[in-house]
Parts: sequence; structure tokens; C-alpha cells
Amino acid sequence: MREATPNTEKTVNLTIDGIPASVPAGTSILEAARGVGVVIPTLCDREDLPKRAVCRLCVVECDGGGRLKAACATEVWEGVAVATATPELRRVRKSIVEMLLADHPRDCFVCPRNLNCELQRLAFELGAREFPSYGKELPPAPAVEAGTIARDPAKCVKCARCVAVCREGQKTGALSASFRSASFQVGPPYGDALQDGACVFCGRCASVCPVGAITASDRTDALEAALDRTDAVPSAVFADEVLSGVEASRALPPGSLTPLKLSTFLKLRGFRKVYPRALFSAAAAIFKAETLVKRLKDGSALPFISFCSESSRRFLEIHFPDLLFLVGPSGDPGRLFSLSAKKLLPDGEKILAASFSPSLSKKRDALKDEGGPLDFALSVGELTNLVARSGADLGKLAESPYDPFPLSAPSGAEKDPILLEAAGAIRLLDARGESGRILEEGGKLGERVPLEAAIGGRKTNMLLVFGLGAAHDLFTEFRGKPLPWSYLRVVNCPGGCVEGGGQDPTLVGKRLARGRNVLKTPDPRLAIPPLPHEAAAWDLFRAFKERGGVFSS
Amino acid sequence: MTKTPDAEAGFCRPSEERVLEILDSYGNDPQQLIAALLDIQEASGRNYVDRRAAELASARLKVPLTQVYEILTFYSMFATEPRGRCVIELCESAPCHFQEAERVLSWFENALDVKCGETDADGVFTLSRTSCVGACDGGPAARVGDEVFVNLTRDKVARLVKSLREDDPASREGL
Amino acid sequence: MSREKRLITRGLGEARPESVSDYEKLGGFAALKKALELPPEEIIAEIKKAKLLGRGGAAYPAGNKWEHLLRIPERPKYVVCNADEGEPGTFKDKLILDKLPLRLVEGMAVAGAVFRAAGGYIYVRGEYRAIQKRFQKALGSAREANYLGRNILGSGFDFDIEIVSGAGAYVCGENSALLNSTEGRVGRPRIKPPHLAEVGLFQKPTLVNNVETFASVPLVLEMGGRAYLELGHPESGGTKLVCLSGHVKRPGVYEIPLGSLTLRELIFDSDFGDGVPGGGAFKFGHLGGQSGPIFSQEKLDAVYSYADLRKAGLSVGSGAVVVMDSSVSVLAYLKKVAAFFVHESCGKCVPCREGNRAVLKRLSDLEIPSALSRSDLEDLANIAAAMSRASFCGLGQSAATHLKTAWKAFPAEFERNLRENAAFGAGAR
Repeated sequence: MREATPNTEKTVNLTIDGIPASVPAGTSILEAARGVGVVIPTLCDREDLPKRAVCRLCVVECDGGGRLKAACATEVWEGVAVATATPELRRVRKSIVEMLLADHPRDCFVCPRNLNCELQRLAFELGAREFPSYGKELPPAPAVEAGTIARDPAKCVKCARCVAVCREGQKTGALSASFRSASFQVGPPYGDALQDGACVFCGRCASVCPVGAITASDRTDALEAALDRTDAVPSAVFADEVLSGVEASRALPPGSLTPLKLSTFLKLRGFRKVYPRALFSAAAAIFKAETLVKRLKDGSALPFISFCSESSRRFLEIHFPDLLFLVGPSGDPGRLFSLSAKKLLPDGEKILAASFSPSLSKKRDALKDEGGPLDFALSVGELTNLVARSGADLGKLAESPYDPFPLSAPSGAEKDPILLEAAGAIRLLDARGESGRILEEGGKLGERVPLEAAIGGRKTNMLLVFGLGAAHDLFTEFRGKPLPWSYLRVVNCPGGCVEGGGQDPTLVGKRLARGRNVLKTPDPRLAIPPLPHEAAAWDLFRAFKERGGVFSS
Repeated sequence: MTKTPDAEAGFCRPSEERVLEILDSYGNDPQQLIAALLDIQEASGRNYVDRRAAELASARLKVPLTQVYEILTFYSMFATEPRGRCVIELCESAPCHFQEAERVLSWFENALDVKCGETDADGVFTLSRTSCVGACDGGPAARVGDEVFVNLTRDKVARLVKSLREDDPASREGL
Repeated sequence: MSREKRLITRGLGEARPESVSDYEKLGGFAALKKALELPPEEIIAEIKKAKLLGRGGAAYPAGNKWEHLLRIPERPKYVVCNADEGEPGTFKDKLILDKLPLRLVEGMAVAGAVFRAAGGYIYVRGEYRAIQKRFQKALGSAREANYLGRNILGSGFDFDIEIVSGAGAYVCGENSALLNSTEGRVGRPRIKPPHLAEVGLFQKPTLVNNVETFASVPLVLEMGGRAYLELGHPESGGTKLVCLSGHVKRPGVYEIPLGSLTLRELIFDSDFGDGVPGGGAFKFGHLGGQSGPIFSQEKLDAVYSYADLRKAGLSVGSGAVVVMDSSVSVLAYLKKVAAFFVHESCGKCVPCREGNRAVLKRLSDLEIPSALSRSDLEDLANIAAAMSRASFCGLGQSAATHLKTAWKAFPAEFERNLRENAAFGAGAR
């Protein structure tokens, strides 16, 4: 994974379009230009991916002649005079984007990335005009894979970011960049379905795709139909991490959309109940604590490896099968909500359970769970669709409280302090995974976040790992050696759940480059909470078990 | 490409043992993947690399299947579907083309009773096109496996086809 | 008396390709002996004096390349020979590989000695599989005679050569793509910098040169750099293997001193091409392979050297000279070339992947009356410019050369069917 490694020892002086710049040695021309306000267009470049320099949009002229150089992949050198916008360069860029548009589908109006598409933006910014067809072969029709990832190969601009993020970023390796020339294509080998290969449906591919070729599947229509039903009780929970995505697409000031305003909206829109997800996160943590404490007692099967989704087991199946026996429940609060609501609430059988989160893999989990309790595992896209279609001005809504989750009278069973200690630590770590990576000392973003916890008076080490690539590195490092943690939490996405596969793609990856939480700066609602609703969570935990409920995942 | 009956049979040509033997002969070295795949293709008898063989190579050499597939689709000499026992590739690059390669193509099509791009029903011949094979001074040229044939006349084409059909390399000497 | 100068090709047809003794009788391996004794700087100085330009097509001064690699401290170093020869119209490397293999072996061994390289690789295109197998015999003989292997001629230097096969990809003629392919991966080119001299095969410092370049090195050392230079042209010494094909009576490989002949002489002289067969008339020629320039009879008097051809707006490229007579439509020819690039583009960068197919489509359109307007033609010119200037690698950068040069040489072909030129009320022509 490429993080900027400028050599802060040595400074290089150069000019960009005549503007003097002074940057650390090792800085790319692209970065140096950005620093003085010159934005060179790019398409294949992403700060969170290795540079590939294949779109060629960022080519610049150095010292008045010679070969054009890709600004993203060329480091500055002393005294160079870079020209970024000569008449020739402007013509070249326009040609390139017109070539991309030549056989690109013209159905922007119904494309999930309409108004949020890098190709649209480039077409506009570079003044693209003529783009006749050059006779492309008919590409495969769009399809939704496993109900989770929607692929539309006709829209692919062949930047191969998806292959790079899957292979080098996530180290999962589900995609090939196969064939040559106009037949160059990305996808699973042999035209296999994604689910038959190494794909874990993390959705990083959807996050990095600049256009609508890979997107999270969209069930907004089905959701609206469900909300219209008079015989059902649509009920929702949502993760706070979706708020930023809604803010971004509805042009609301960051931080202005509070959870309780969103709760108001959901009620207005037709959800009969909106419950606090935090209750279920806490209760889920208690369930996971059960597994952990049991394993600690046995001394067996440690660490308890918990992925953020069940689909991620595939990652170990393919790459580290000898560690599979260590995997335990992922503990999705959305799923616990659906199970417990339907089991414990009086009108349980009428409940349509919906969970909004920035996760894509949880969609897959819900669908794999055929006939399972979670009716709608939804991502940010569907939530923003709901908002957009309703026309609500969220900024003007008043806040309304969550609905209480009424349980029958508590069983009176004593709280188990050891279980709750373990749950608190688990919840702390899981919450960190949800809210994302932060800067450590020395300015690095932490990929591995350790936590030292005390459970039943004994110290134990836990670890949170951000991203499957980092997990791959960890497991490789420890191959053949014991993993020295009792609880190991892996979240699929390197930025944390807040930058998950189900988040608005334009919000993903920015924080890594600038080393701070761009999504919500500063956003108190993502401060790591202690185990909230401890009493209610405990009651839920007990009640669910007493009614024969099984929450193994 | 016309599919021949045993393409559907899921047959691993060559046998798994032979594939593993070939991989072993290259020390199971991932760097030698291309050479190994070329040998596996030759050993298949039908000039292709079966998916099962690709999976074996992937597992043995510890190269992800996604990357083996990239190699099989990137390089023109590989096929992932069975072809004929003999693949006759006629050069279609400009120097050969403008020395009446099209006429030579029609001679082959008649002699083999297949259209360009197809395999005959017996699975003996596939007729296709290829980029320059470096025989431009004797164009139009045709490549069959390791051999390249130049200065083709209608008569030569007929003799070549006969020799290939009968699998008689000696009769091709000096052709 | 033929003005061919058979130096690299001396012994062709008489010396047995794999025979070390036959090759030694021609003076073979004398250069290697020198290289094992003399300091590397001296060897490189001769090559620089000789002004030996890379014979693969890029024409980069070999002496400079070797000198740059010598200065790099990192080890191990590798010597790689580019024997991918995919450029249509080019078949000279095939000749050397098949009939003069020991010349190549010696040239690479000299390079190995200069850099004390860890090993040598010859990347041979897959279509030359039979030749690859025969080449092994030459390697075997060289080993037996201790010109390869351990402790070569008692010098303490170990060096051996391995053959690596391509599998059908013209783009693997691009040096960084070639190295990726050698490493067992798809042959798509690498981002440069870092250059191959710094990060090459297995990420180590590497020398990559063409077959003919390596085969020329022993000659340079035998004659001395100055004599080699004088043999050829002031800016590029020595001889070049020229490949004549297409509509000429005597196609084949001819070794000529650089700067000694004009294109006209090459194509029409009875010692060389001997003119167009069947009473046909010369219409145009294509130099350096499909990635090179097209020229009409106006340029027939250009002298065949790197500098002279460049001055004439042409280039040597690989050394291919393809001749086409008046039976060939320029547009039909260009379409074939465009189709070649469409097939061979690796696909990773936009200008080459999309540009080549746009060019092919437009060339077809140009054959149809009133299919295109002048502004379409302007777009085509812009696409060609974007390809030349912005493509990721040399393939894309040169994939529009045929179009641009033919456009200059035969503008009428591009104009006659434009909508603006159509006879009113009827199709053009």
C-alpha cells in the first residue's frame, strides 16, 4: 500500500506553470502542483492505491520539450520547469477523455453514479465534445452478483483500480485484468461469478471505481414498497457512520446531520420504529464476550478471530485455511436487532427489519442467510436514495428520540461482571474499527490497534486490524507462530467501517492522504463510547437467550 | 470456435499426472509459469490449456488462478478451449497480407474444409490467423506448432495438409 | 561487386551454427578473451567510439547504456537479450539466432564479463520455438568449450545463458514488458523511472539489448571502435542488417555499412531488392516495421543511415524495409497496420487501447464516400497526436507513426472521400 514517503531531509525547488514550488524530495509532480493550487486532471490515480499511470490524463511537459511525463508517477527534480496546460496538453487531455466516452453508455440519468461520477466530471472539466462510437464489441450485460455487487462492464473505463485494490490493497485477489487491447477486461477469471472465487464482497472495488461499472446493489425500490405496506411494522437501526455519506450527497454541512434528525426522517418516511443501534452493538458484544470468556477458560482456540462480516471467512478459507478454526461470530448488531425484535417484541412476526450501515459485506451476509431475519441490509446509497426521493430538507428537521425497545420484565438474573468486562473491551475495539483509523504519533495511520484489557482480573491483549491487506500481512508474519492475542478483530476496509464498501465512494480514501478524519472533523459522535446501555443490553442478552434465541453471528 | 465433443466432457488433457510432471520439470518455479503452460498446452494434444490444468499449475506454483488466467488470455499463443491437433496459423500482417495471403487462406480453407477461425469436426485442424512470424521474405507464411512454412503454393498447401493429417513429419522436410 | 559487407553475417551458410571450432576459425571468441582481460571501462570506451546504436529500433547508444549500468553499484546484475522480434517485416534476429548463434553468445558473454553479471537470459519470442530448441545446441557447445559456465577460460568468472520463451505478444518487445514476461507474468510495460538499469530483472540492475546489438559487439572489439565507426557513418558506426520484403524480387537480409546506400539502391539494385516484380511500379515503402514511417518515391534518395533518415523525416527502426507496389491501396495497407496494433496493444493505457481502434475505424470510414467530415479528420489527427505524446510505452507512442507519415506522403487518400469534397449530389469519385 502506497503511503506518501517524501524525504523530508531534502527540498526540491521547481516551477509549475511559472509558479515557484518548494517540496520535499520524492514528491510527485502531481502533488507538488496541488500544493500551489494547480490541479492536474487524473482518473486512474488514487492516493490509497499504488500508482499505475495508465489513464495518461496527467501528462505534463517538462523543461519545454521531450517526452511528456505522467505527473502522478514522476518525482520532481531540482529546477525543472513544468508546464501543465499548454495548448497541446489541453488537446491531448480532451482527446483522451473523448476516447473514453466514445463507446461509454449514455444512460447517466439512471446510473447509480449520476452526478457522482469521475468520468462525468472530467468530461465537463475538459470540454469534451465529440465522441462518436468506434464500434466496440457488445460487452456483457449488467448483472447483480450475489445480490450485493452490481457490475456493468459496459461502463468500465479499464482503469483497473479494482484489480489493484483487490490484489495489492486487500490482498484478496478475486479479480483478473485479462486479455489485451480493446478486449482488456476486469473480473473474476473464466467469467466465474464473484461468489465462486476469492471474493469476500468487501466492496473495496465499488469504493474505488470511478464510474458506475461496480456499485453496491440497490434495493431502494423494494424498500419503498415495504414501507408502503400497511400490514407490516417496518423498523430500522442505522450506524452513525452513514450520516456523513448522507451529508455529502445532500450537500449538508458536515456534522449537521445528527442521528436523531435522521431518526425523524426515517419515521417520516414510513418506518414505524427506529431503534438505537448502540443497544444491539452492546448486546452483540456480550454475546461475543461469551465466546471469548469460554475460550479463555479452555485456553483453546485463541485468538477469537472476529471479522466484521461472515463473508470474510472466505478470506481465511483461501489464504490461511489453517486459521479457520479460530473464527468466531462477527456480531453484526443489525442482525441481532432483527433476530431479537422478531423474537421478543409483541408484534414480532409483523416486523420488517432494516439495518443501514456503510458495509457491503453485511448485505451479502443477510442474503446468504436465506429466509433470514434481516429483511433489508442497506448501505448509504439506498439511504441517500430514500432521502433524495422524498425531497426532505434534513437540515430543517427536528430531532426525535429513538423508540424504546420494550422487553418483558428482566429475568432478575445477576449481571456477570466478567462477561461485561470482556464485552466492554470488545465493544471498544469494534467501535474503533467502525469509526476508522486515526493518526498515531509520528503521523502514521495505525493499521494495527492494540488494546490491553483486564478480564476477570487477568490482563489480556486484543488487536484491531484495519483492512484485509493488513490482516494478510499479519497472518503471514505470524505463520507457524502463535498469535499473541485473545481477541483479534479484523475489519475488511482499510479506512474502517466508516469507509466501507457501502459508503459513498467519494468519501472513501481521502482521510488516508491527509491523515485526518475528513468525514467528520471533529465529530464527537464518533468518539469511542463505553459499553452504552449496559443494563438494557444485559437484559436483552438474557431475554433473548431465555427465549431460546441463538446469536451465533 | 466450434466446440468439439470432449470439450464438454470436463476431461483434463493431459492427465493430471502429466501436468504435475511438467510442473516438476520446471522445479515448480513460478517464474517458469509461461514455459510450463506452453509445455502443458503441447502435451494436451489439442493445443489448449484446460482449466483443471491451470488450477493445478496455480496450486503447485502458488500463483493465484486470477494471474494464471491473465497469462492464458494475454498471450496469443495460448487457448483455453480445445483446438485441433494441428493449429495452422496464417500470418495476417501487412507484408504477408499484400503478398496474397488471402488467396493462400482460401487454399487452406478448401483443403481443410473449415473456415478461418474454426476447428474441423474431427478435431484435427484449426485454421486461424496470427501476427507476423518473422518469415516476411517468404510470405505468405503459415505456422504450425514449432514449424513455419513459406513460399506457399497451392500444391505445397495440399502436401502440407496431407502430411499433417497423416502425422508424418518426414514428408514435410524441405516443404 | 555487391556492396553488402558481410561481417556479422560472415560464415553464413558455411560455418555450422552450433560449431565452436567453425566459429573460432572466423575469429570467434577473440573478443571474449579480450573482455575477460581488459578493464570494463576500456571495453565500453571502444563501444562508445564505435557509436554502436541499439539495433532493436530505439537506436539508443549502446556505449552510454553500458556505461550507465557499469556505474551502478548494486549487485547482482543481469544481461538480457531482446529476441522478441515481433516487428512485421523484420527477420534479422531470426537469422542470427538460427544461423549465427555463437555470435550472440559471445556478445552476451562479453557484456557478462564487463559487468561481471550473475547471468544472461535470451527472451525469444514463442513463435521461434523451433529455433529456441536448436539454440540450446550452440549453448551446449559453448559450455563444452568453456566459453560459458563456471570459471570461463580460467578467469574465475562464472556466466551462463538461459533461454526464456515468449508466448505471442508483440508488446513484449518493449524492454520492461519483456522483463515482466521473463519473470513469469503478463508482459505489460513498467512505469519508468526507475529505469531498467536500476530496477530491472528481478528488480536488479539489468542490461537489455537487441540480438543484433549483442552480435555486433564482438565485431567492434575485433576491429576496434574507431575502425567500426569509419566503416559506417560518422554518427553511427558499423553495419546494419536490413530486411527487405514485400514487393521486391529479392527479399531477404542484407548487411550493409550504414550510410553507404540510398533507399533507391536498396530497393532497386540487382545486388539487393532488384526492383518490383511482375513489372509493377513502386508506390510506397514502410521502414522499421509497423511502428515506423511510410515513405513515397519522393524520399527514395534518402541515404540509409540513422542520421540521414532522421533528417528525411524517416527512421531506421528495426531495419525492416517493406515495399509495396501500385496494386496496394494506401488506406488498405494502413488498415492492416492499425489492425496489427489493435491486436497487439497490451490494453492498459487509454491512448493506445482506445486510440488504435479509433484509428482503425476511421481508416475504414475514409474508404467510404462522405462518411467523414473534415472535423472528423481533425479529431483523428488529435487522436494520433494523443497516442504519440501520451501513451504509456513505445508501442502506443509509435502506433500512429504509419498514419501520420502516410498522411503527409499521400494527403489525397485522406481527402478524396471527405464530405466537403464530395461532388454535389453524388458520392465522390
